[in-house]
Amino acid sequence: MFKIRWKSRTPKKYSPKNTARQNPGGLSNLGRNSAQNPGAQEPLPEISSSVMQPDWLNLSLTGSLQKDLLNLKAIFKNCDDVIFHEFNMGQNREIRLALIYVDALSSSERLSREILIPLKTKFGEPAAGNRISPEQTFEYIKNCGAAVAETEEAARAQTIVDHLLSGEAVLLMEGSSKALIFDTRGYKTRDITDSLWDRSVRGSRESFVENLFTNTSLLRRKIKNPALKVETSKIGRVNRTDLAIAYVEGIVDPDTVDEVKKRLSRIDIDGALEGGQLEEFIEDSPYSPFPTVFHSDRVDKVAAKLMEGRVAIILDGTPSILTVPALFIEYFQNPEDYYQRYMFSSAVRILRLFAFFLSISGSALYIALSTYHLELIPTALLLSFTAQREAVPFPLFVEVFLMEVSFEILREAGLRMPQPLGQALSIVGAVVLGEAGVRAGIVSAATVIIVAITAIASFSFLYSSTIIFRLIRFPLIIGSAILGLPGLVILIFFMTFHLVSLRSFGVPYLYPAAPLSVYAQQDTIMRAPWWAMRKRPCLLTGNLQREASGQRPQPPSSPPNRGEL
Amino acid sequence: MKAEVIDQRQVLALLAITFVSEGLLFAPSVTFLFARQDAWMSNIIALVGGLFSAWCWVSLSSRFPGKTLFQVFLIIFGRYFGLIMAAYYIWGWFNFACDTLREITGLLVAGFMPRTPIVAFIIIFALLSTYIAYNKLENLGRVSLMFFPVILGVIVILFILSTGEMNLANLTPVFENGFIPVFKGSLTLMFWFSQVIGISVLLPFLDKSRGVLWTCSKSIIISFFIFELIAFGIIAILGPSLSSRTLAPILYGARMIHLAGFLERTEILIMVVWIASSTIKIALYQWIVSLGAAQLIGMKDYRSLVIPFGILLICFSFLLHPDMTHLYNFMGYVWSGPYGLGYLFIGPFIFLLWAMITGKGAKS
Repeated sequence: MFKIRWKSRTPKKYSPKNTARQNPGGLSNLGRNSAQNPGAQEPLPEISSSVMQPDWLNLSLTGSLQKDLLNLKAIFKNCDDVIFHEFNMGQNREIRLALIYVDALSSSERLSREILIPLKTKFGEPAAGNRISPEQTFEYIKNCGAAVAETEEAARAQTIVDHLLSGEAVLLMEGSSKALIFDTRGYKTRDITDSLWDRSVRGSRESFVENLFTNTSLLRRKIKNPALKVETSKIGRVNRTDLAIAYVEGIVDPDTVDEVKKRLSRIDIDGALEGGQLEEFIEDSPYSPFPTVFHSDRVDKVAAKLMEGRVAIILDGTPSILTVPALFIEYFQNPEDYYQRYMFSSAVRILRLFAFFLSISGSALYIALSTYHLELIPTALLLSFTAQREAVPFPLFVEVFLMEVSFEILREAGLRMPQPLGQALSIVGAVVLGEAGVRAGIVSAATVIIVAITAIASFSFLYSSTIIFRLIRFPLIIGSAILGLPGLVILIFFMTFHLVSLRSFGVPYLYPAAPLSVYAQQDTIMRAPWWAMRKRPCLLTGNLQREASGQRPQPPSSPPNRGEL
Repeated sequence: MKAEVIDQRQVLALLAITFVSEGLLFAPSVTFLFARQDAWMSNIIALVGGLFSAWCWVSLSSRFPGKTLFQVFLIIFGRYFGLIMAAYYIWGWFNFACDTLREITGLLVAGFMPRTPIVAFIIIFALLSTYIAYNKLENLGRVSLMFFPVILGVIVILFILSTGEMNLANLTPVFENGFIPVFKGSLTLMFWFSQVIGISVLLPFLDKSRGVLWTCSKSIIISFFIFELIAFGIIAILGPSLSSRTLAPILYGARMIHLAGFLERTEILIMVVWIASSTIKIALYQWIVSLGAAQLIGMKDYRSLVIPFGILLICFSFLLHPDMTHLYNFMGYVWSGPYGLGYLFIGPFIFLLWAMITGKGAKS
């Protein structure tokens, strides 16, 4: 019964013949643009805006408003969210103008307050004798006509289209071969919230949002220095997303910035939606399982990395910001380590590294010990293990593998399932897999404990890095099931060597462990007090001096004697 | 391609690991066999010999800056005899690598995985060392510098932990059979210290060549202290008879540690150290062999030779020795006898003399 009426119909094939046949169908008259346009009868020039062969890339403004409008309308054919608003201004209303914007990308309030009201009313009646001729229009509007803070000029169709689609308004004038571009962006974005994935008790809670310029403003609020450079460009054949790189000049290694720019400009992708897509284009070792590009959505974290000499890559539309060069140790560094007392932070660092080893090799160690090296387990414990495993029909390897896979399923399901279901299912998962599994004799209680502790250990550092650590666990399990402890040690040695051979934008991944740098150990397995971390890591930056020396606080040499009356 | 560069600390670690890795396997046992409780004095003689060998190799190599040993041979002995000598030394390194591979895998099987066929471990180790040798030397240098403190730490910690088991009376009587056994025992260690020959291939890859002799000497001295710890510790724990009759005395020494009721079975640490040090050593030698062969036949990149040599490594570690006893005897009487010492100890001195007499190379 319901009949959907499209405002305009997309042609099925991108051939000019097809389009021509469909145009007289009358449906296109329903479109918003056509209704507003008095010259709708005039046929649009045949400009294909198809992704396959965009004809308009080399077009420029001609100076004739009528022609330019037709060209732009042809480019934006069937884009009903692009509004063409034509109006006149001047004493005698003889100057024709056209304001083009995208609905809801530009704030209609700002459009009317900052452009339309001034142009339509105020300059309708300028001071006596101050007639504006059509030739002066462009300069006039640019200098004192519109009340917009950010104004640009453009003549090429590509520039105009790019600006238009990022939410800016374009003003075309009769007789001018340049268009004015007003920044009237006012689209809805998500509010700045806490980071969901990277949490801490102390420290700023702000996390990045999807809007690029909100993100750069967040960074700018942390680093109020003109040395913080933000260079923007665009990426993506189809989605033409804004991309920015940020770095602190004077700290960053200029070669790294050049390298980042070079690698980013190599990318030819149709749509960049997340930094992870760029990551796979710019990393040094594409066949390595380890990520050599770091990412974060916490503002303070990224700001700290910039001040350590890294480069941030900010993509519009995603809150996760890439930073390079990445070091392996970064995955164990939490912003909170730097905010709370250094002794506790150092202890937590050691704990985290221990958790890392536990999470990759816990299950494997369990298999190796209780399959091959029974003599290494204390006798009482061994007897208890054996008693538990009596009812279990599988070899230990199968048992552990089963539990690991079920845990992975639980984790993945917990991430993807609708939030209201989460709690119910996690309880079911825990109870079913743990308690009932043991009672039914499918797994032994010791296996449940081991798998659970390795799983929990893998959550004690940044989530996105745990994915790869969790993957590594499986080869280690298989290795130790085949060759016992020596197999496990060989695989870990292999992994270590692989890590040593990795580089991220020229910086060795395992720095400062290999190549060994003694002073840079200040921020690895321990976190030195702030007054002692006088230098930045030397491979990241040429500007080593972080702070002045001799800042260790001490009581005043002659304390005020307040005890005496 | 950017030239590979390693720094002095990495060379120190690499060389020291090649000495120490042997000290964890057969070498102490062979020394104990001859010198018994006087093994610690053998170490001192070996130290002097090792330093002399280091001086010979470094002086020889520094007369020809930027040239590896194989190229040096071609210069000082001419095209044909130089080729033969270089091929002979490549074979020597290949032989070390095979023996080390056989030794570590044999001990792993004997000590930890008695029912696993040794071929499984040989293949795994050869794969690992091929991977490492295929990557660049700088990575090998970095990884060795990263593991060297760990290896030292484990040995020192185990020594401290085992002090409770030690009986110093085992170290007496001194000079029970006179000086000759002490000297005989020192030969094997002298041979292992003479593997400082590695510097003659590593020298062109160093970032700066000043102070190389001191770096080599430091690595020998550090290893000397490790060997002394091992000699003192093992003989004090096991006694001279038992320690000379076991293949890898350090493993049994570590097994004796019982502390506080739960700190037992520390030989796991020994295994970790074994695997790390031996893999680095085998990979270094495989790298040297591939590089040498590539330089002899005039290839630009050594890497295409790494995999064939990896396969040969697997085959020859089987072919060269029928069993562990043969390997042990080969280590004790052939490597530490005229073959090995002529090769690494007397050889360099003669080469150096020859280069000086014929006046080839720059004067250092």
